[in-house]
Amino acid sequence: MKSIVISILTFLLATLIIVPNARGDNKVKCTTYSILAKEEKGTYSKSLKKFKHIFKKMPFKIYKSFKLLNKNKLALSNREKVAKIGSNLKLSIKLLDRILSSDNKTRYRIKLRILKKKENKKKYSTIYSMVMKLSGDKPMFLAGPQKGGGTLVIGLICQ
Amino acid sequence: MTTKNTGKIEPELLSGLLDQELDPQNKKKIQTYLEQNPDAREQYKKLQIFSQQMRELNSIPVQPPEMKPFWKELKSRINLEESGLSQPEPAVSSTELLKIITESRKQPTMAQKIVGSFVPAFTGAIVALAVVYFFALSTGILDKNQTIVNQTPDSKLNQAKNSKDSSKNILVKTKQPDNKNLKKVSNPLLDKKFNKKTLPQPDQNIEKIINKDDSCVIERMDTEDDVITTVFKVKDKDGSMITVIWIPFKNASPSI
Repeated sequence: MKSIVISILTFLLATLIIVPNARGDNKVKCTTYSILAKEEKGTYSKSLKKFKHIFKKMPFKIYKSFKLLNKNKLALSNREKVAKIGSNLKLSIKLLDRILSSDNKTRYRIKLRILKKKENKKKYSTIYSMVMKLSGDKPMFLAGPQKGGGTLVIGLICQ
Repeated sequence: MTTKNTGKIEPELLSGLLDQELDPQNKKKIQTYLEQNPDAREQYKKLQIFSQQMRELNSIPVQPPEMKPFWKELKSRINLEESGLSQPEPAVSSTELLKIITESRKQPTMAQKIVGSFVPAFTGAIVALAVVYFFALSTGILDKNQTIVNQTPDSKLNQAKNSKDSSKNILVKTKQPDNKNLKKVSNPLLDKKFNKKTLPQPDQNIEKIINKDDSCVIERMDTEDDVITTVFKVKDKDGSMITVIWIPFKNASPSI
């Protein structure tokens, strides 16, 4: 009886130690930004000022205001992580590979999907899917959806 | 006074003499009779001794018996009988029982402790670790293939030149789309089905620049409908290229 209890406790301890450590090794911290870009002058969110030099150029040149709607921090792993980017849109991100190059730059091979809620249904379906290699600390942007006279811009940056 | 047939004296008269209940006339007669008959005299003596003993017994004070143990025993017996059990026979003798108790009270040695407790626990722990490890491996938590050390573009190109089947070394394997309705608009230069003979070869110098400075290399795109997706490359402060993908949503989000 005593040995069974010790075995169970050891099992639980091993699970607690191995699983989180193993997961932690493969996790990549990413941040998603939901930004509303408008042509007319308006608010410019402080947390977006680091992207100001990018927003000055095409295709964002025509927009004068950038308002941060939502910011999500995700720990990417080989399991899909989902961030809500609108009332009927979701962004799904999955880490496929971690690529270490000879110049000490890290790239992340990521699968990115945009999911849209079906009309009058609870289910989401994939409307856009892509696989890319994204450099660490470098952003990438997805834009296009219209919202309230503006354009929704989704930013992704991984570290 | 005497019995008619035997001539013996009646016992009531003897006890009357003993208790001095007879009148003087009868008393004298019986005394005479006793002197003449030694058997009757012997009987009278016995009667005297008995009477004496009875008096002595009566003089001893009588203690009432202790009833509690009696009732207790009686109750236990009744209970046993009601439950249908009889008093069990002892299986072992008291000496053997004492021996068993003494042995059971003995403390186990260190070797016995190790064999009895730590060895099964250690075995259990190893099994537990193995189960957790294989579970983690099967669920992909411990997937060691996650990290790929990338070769420099130059070495890749040289390798491609030297290799007969160069496409295997350069091209990246792409998975089938999850959603069958999605239409593939992947880069033909990176597509496995790309036919080298019919399509022009990519400029290696341009490929080098893209690999070096492009912060986001798109391997594949799948969209729900036939749409033209525009990809912009915006120059960052350090000279690297930032990717902006413009997706033409078909009134996708009036309520976003």
